[in-house]
Amino acid sequence: MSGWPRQRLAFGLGPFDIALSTDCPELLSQWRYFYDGLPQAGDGIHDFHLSVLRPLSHRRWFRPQAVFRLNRYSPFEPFPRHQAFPLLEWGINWVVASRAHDHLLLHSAALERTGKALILPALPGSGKSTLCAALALRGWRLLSDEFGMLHGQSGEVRPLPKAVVLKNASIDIIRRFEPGARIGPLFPGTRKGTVAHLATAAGCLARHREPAEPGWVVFPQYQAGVDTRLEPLPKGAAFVRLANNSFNYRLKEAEGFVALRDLIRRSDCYTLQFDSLTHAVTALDSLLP
Amino acid sequence: MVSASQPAPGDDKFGVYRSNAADLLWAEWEDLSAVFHRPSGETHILDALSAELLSILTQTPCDAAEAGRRLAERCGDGDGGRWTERAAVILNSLRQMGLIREDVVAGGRWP
Repeated sequence: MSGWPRQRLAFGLGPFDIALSTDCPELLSQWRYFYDGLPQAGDGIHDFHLSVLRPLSHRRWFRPQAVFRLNRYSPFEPFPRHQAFPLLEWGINWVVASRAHDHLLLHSAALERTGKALILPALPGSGKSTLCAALALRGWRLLSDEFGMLHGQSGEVRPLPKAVVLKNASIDIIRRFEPGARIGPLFPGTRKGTVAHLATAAGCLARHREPAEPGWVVFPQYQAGVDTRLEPLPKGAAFVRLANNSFNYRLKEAEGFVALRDLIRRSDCYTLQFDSLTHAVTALDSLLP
Repeated sequence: MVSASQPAPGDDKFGVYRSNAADLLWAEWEDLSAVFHRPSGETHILDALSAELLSILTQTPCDAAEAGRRLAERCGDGDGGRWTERAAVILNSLRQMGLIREDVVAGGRWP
């Protein structure tokens, strides 16, 4: 016997209903810190059945570990148990990227204002998550830190408002940018270094099913010492960059092509180079009508 | 290198190029065009001339000389003859992408 009873949660998150079971009590308390505002899902059909459980081995007690599973499948090696929350966050990302093919999935942050979505596609190291966190702290509604989720038929950008993952130096940058930011515990020694999570605003969680119309596609690039420059990007070039940035563009075939084409048609496209978060937020605010 | 078939002196065989409009989805912008090819599931990025020629071939099949003339016409150039070689290069490239088919036929020049 583990000594900790298995707990079960069921919640809605964006377009998905998720069931989660865990026997890691610290994961439950961290989950509640970040996601108490999410509505509970019913006992009906859930899109994904996830678990984060202690293994049935000596690693239950000795250097304890946690294992993430979708149904009975575990895509990752076990994590140290004190990293159960980041494990769950990455697990949900993996589930969405590998299973949610009803959507065209872009590797990007997405935020909303005035009903329009701002999509920030980027490679790791571009400053996407840090910029996303800054925008979310300055009045933009967080849709997602990790995915631009385009619904194929409507062309809407759907939310998946998980906590923004801040890595290494970004944690203190955001603390300085907004001292009142609700940032959870530090998780040192993960595969991505030290990570912490910026809690999603309660208003964003309450609107977690509310999509946005395409508005802007901006490719951000942090670079120390540069002046902030927001410049128009030709739409064809934006199309090519986004197609290469998608998790499932090839898998979606014609539907993916049409979804991407329509997104580009309906969006103004830019590149943004920035050094200062404040200046970057000001530049993006200038896009608003 | 041009490898699209063109009638050589004394050779009455030549290539006729065609494309099936139903196989293609288009996205056109000022800087480039993208074409999704349904049978292969591939997306191809085309410059303006290639997109124009592909569009021509979805409407009517033709040989390289006729393709050059039509391309010249669409580009507002009266001298279609000098476009033949350029058209042949583009035809070869489109053929390699699998966006057009070449049928070698006998019996003089198209049509």
